[in-house]
Formats: sequence, structure tokens, C-alpha cells
Amino acid sequence: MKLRKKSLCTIACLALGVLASCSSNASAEFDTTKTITRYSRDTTSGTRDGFFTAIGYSEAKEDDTKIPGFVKADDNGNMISLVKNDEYGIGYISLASLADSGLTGVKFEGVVPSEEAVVDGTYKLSRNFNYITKVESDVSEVEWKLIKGFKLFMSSQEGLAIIKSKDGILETSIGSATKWSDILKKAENTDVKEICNKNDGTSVEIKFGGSTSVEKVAKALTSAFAEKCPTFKPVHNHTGSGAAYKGTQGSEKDSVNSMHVGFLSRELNDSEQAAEGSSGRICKDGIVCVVNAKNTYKDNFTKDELKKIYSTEGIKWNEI
Amino acid sequence: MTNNNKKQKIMDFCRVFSTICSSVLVIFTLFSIIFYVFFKGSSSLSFDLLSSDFESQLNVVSTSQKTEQFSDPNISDTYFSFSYGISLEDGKSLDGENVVKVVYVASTSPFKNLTTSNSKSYQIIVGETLDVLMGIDENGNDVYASAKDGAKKFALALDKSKEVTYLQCIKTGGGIRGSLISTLYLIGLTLLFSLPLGIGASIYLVLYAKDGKIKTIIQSLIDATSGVPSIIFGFVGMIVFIPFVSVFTGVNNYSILAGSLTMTIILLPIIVKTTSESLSTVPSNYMNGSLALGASKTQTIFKVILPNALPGILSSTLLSIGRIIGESAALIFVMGTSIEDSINIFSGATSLSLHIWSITKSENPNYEIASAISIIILLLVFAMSVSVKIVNYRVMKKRGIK
Repeated sequence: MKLRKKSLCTIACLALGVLASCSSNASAEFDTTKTITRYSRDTTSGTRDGFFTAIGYSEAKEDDTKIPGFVKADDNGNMISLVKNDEYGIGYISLASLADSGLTGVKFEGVVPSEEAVVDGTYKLSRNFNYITKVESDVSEVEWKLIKGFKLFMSSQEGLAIIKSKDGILETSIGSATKWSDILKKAENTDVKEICNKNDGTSVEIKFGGSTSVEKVAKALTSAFAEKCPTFKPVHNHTGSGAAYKGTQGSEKDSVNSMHVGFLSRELNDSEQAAEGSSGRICKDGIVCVVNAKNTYKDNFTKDELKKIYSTEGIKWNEI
Repeated sequence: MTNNNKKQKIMDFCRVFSTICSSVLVIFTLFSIIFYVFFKGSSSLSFDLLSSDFESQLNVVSTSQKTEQFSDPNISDTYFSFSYGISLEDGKSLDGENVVKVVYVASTSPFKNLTTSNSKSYQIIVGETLDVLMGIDENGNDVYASAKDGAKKFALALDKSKEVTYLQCIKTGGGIRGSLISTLYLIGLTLLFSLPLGIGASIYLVLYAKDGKIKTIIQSLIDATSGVPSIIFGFVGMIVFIPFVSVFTGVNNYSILAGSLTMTIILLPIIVKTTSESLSTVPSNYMNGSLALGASKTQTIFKVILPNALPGILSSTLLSIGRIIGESAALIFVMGTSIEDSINIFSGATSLSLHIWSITKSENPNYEIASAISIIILLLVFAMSVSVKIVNYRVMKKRGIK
């Protein structure tokens, strides 16, 4: 009995001690002698492609051994939560998700990441959002009309306004684009008009997938197009840019992972030869180098600093 | 004497201390997980979450300004559009996105009489959200606004637009009704397949099969398969059951049916094991008595032994339901991860666990809703285990064991 009481007392004291040390730790300064935890996306990611190209370290795009000792993040959301929970971490995410992420976006070469800076070209960490579709011979006639309609909708005035509302960065003004109603009036688009005016309760599933960074834009576009075109029923399954070519025209185009339209947050590479006219650009997006909100040590990175951080294992914050 | 005694005392203290330490640690971790989930999720838990659709409903409308200027009802933290007579506020949707919410519509507002793009009439309701506005101001210039600009800018842009050519009115989604229904479908279908198979197999193994090498091998195989990680069954399910279901539907696609077939395979060993146990605990007097009264062996098994083993079978069913609710890894392969609202057993959908997976994997993971769904799952599993306890208690009481 006595023993038990003694042990319980000891535990209580210990617990109090731990709690006290925890609370005193929380207010501590940022410790620059700590090692930087370097987070990176996997090689299928378009964000990774864009990031390493922009910092001049293209070797690391497809080769994990070039960034020794890094921690892998599965997708944009995973990257956000990893850096959020690591005071000494560094990572990179899509500019579109910076505002809601609760992370600090660091300046790149002295330029604050913003939509305007991406458009005028002063902020160099940017990439394009692209799409790729199946080829006409692989899909049914109705599916092809819907895919064609969706492509037209993306470039319409309504489409551009939606892309902008979901933080996509447009290079042309919305006003210069054609209205959806005017696009339908064109003679070459009568097939699209016909299918969009059909409203007999039947619907055709069109599958979308690819990059997780484009997901938000893609979902907003498809739901708005579904409203214009009741036959169109979008199904989304986003995994990463690498799936886009594979699922539309590559090795998995007939498997369960196939999709009608795939999105990429990078350019198609040499091994991904898209059929002519089956791919195109949607908008631009910035990539932001992010650190934990508690990290006030650096608010600007240069190309070479980032390259040094990602190529050196065990580098500490005060070594840059 | 004192030296030895002291040593002994210190040793004793260390032993007791370490056991208490580990139990405190265990309780602490378990409770902190539950506390975290309740703390994060309780604010998002509402009836709306359970009953509303995940997909938001989108209506595109157009309208134009009237000459009338409306008067501001002065609701705090809202922004009023004087030419259209609606109040807007910054809010958050069920799935945590920033939205512009309508909180007041004046009775003569143009928003009470809208036409959608497919020329139906439409009326905006308080609580709906607005996004993507395209309009034309009095000089013929374009005006744009969207939810990310915030309610203040949105109201200003509305006032500026003489004519609104494109405006998205959204009944926000983020609910889990679809996933709840598909979870129920999954449970129902899986039990439909697995219970007859599992109970049948265990009756044969316990009561008919002769003791021998083959029976031992089969039983140890069943024991072994109950320990196989579910993800292995998952990808086997993808290779075997998706093509199997596609024979009936013609589409090579994820489906709840393929999901329940996979779950059946996962559950069979568990059901066979628990049912076998409950069958073999039925006292042998019952069997002998029935046989002595002239009943055949089959009659005895189905009319005497099975009803007596029923409570055990019931608790294995409840355990299975708990397992179905909790399973996620295997189902990713066969049911897909796209959250649906209209549920059909021949197409993919998400169970509650997969719903959590889907929303935490999205662009901006929403841990509040994930926690809220976790609370629902925890409560369901808790209810399951309590019912298992109750069933067991009743069985014991019936047999006269206290």
C-alpha cells in the first residue's frame, strides 16, 4: 500500500516536471544550431519537377539519391501537415494552397510569392497546370463530345473566371476570352451544343485524375461544366501528375486507373509523347518554399541556398 | 538484516513503480487520442453533417440591378449590397473552405426572382453561398469577384455590376450522408455473403468432419489466414473481384459489391473461428439427449445445437460489423476513394473510414471533419462492443454461470 502511494507521488511529480519543461520550451527562441529537416515530394509530383527546375537542381527531379536523407511527402496536403508539425522543417507547396496552410511562405530571390509576381515574371518559382485527354479512337462518340466541350469550357470566359477564383494564375485577361454562349454558337461546335442541350436524365461518367495540385481547380471546372451540360457526370481521383499520361494514353489507359482527362502540374516529359491536340495548358501556378510559422530565422532564399539545403545531408540552419 | 531489507524494499519499489508507470502511460495515450478527436471534431459534429450531400449543389444565375436602393439591415460582421439587397458574410463551409454566405435577402431583392442559365426560375435562400461573379458595370467594363476575395469585396463588386451575367449560387456540401449509406450497404452485403458461408463451414468442421490430418490442416490454415494483413486481401480483391463484378455490369470499375466480396474473404476466418468456438461449447448432453429421443444428426444440429450457439454467432456478427466499419486499407483497392452521394452497389463509393482517408488526402486536409467522422466511428464501435458484452452476459446467465 505504502509502496503504491510512493510511486504514485513520484509519477505525479515527474508529470508536473515534464509539463513545466514543456511550457517553458514553447516560448523558446528558434534554435539555429538544429539540423534542417528537408521535405520533398515524390518523383511523380509536378511540384517537385517545377521546384527543382527553378532552383537549378534538375538532377534531383527524378533521382531521390540527389537529395540524401530527405523526408518524403505523399502530396500537397501531406507536405503542409509535415512542415506544420516540424519547427525546423523546410518544404515546398503550391502557391494556391499557401493562404489556408498556416505556413510561412519564404521570399525567393527577394521576391514575395504572389499572383502578380508570377504573372509579371519577377517570381521565378512557377510552373504550368496542363491537361491531357484520351485520343478520339479510344472513347465513345458521346464521351468525345463531352471531352471536347470540357476543353472549350476551360478556355471560355466563365471557365477562366472559375480558374481564377480557385487561385489559378491567368496570363490573359478574362475579358479577352469568349463567352460560353458565344462558343456554342460557332458552327464547328454544334455537336457540343447538341449534347449540352440534351436533358433526358441520362448521364455519362467522365473520369478525371492526375495532379493533386490541380484538383481544386479541376473540381470547380467540372462542377460548373456539369451545370452547363447535364449529361456530363465528372468523377475525380487525383493521385499525382505521373498518373495523367499513364491513365489517358500510356500504359494504364485500359486499366481501372484509366481516366478521360488527366491533369499535370508540370510539362509532359520526353517519355510522355502526347498525341497531337490532346494536351494543353490551363493556367500558371506558383510554387512556394515554406517553413514552419515559428521559424523567423530566414525570410528569403536564393537559388543557390535552396540548392545547397537540398543537396547537403545534415545541414544546419546557421550554415546557410 | 537492515541492509538486506533495504535492498529488498528498493527493488520492490522499482518493480511496482515500473508497472504503475506503464499503465499510466497506456491510459494517458489512449485517452489523449480520444480527447484529441473529441476536442477537434465536436464543433463540426452536427445533424447537417450526417444528412447533407458531399457534392455541393451549383446553380448559375444571371440578374440585373433595379433602380431601387435597399436599406441595410445592419447585421454585425456582414456586408450589404445596396443595389441588390443582400447581406453577405465570411464563413466556412462544412468541409472547411472559406465561403461567402448569404445571411439576409430583402423581400423585393432581384435575388428573390432569378433565372438560371437553363432558364428556370430560382430563388436564393439564406445560408447559400456565392462564388465566381461575372458582371458588367455602367461603363460596359467587366467586373469579377469570387469567394476568395471575401464578403466585403464581393458585396462591392455586386454593387458595381449593373448586370450580373454569371453568378454561382452554391448549396454547400461536405456532408457524409452518402458515405453513411454506403457503409450500411457494405455491412449488409458483407454479412449476407459471409455469415451463411462462415456458419456453414464451421458447422461442417466442428460437427461433421472426422478428426484427422486434413481437419487439422484446414483449421490451422484458417488460423493462419485470420492473421493475414487486410491489404493483401485488398489487392487480390482488385485482381479477382473487380473483373468478376464487371461481368454483370459491363464496366471495369470500383464497386461496393466488389468491396463487400473482399470484406467477406477478410471476415471468413474470424467468423469460422468464433462460430466454431461457440458450437463446441454447447454441452454434449444436448446432442446426446436429442439423439436418444430419436432425432437424426442433421435435425439435432440445426434444431438443437445451432439455436444454443446463437448468442456466440451473434457476437461474432457484431465483431465483424466493427471490423467492416474500421477497414480502410483493403477497400481503397476495390471501392475507390471518390466520395459519392447517390449510392449504387455496382459503382464505387467510400465507407466512413475511406471518407476520412479521402478528405485528409485532399489539397487542404480538413482534420476537423475527419475528427467528427472519427467520433461517429468510435461511437459505433463502442456500441458494438457494449452489445457484445450484453450478449455474452445473457448467454452466461442462461447457462447458469455467473
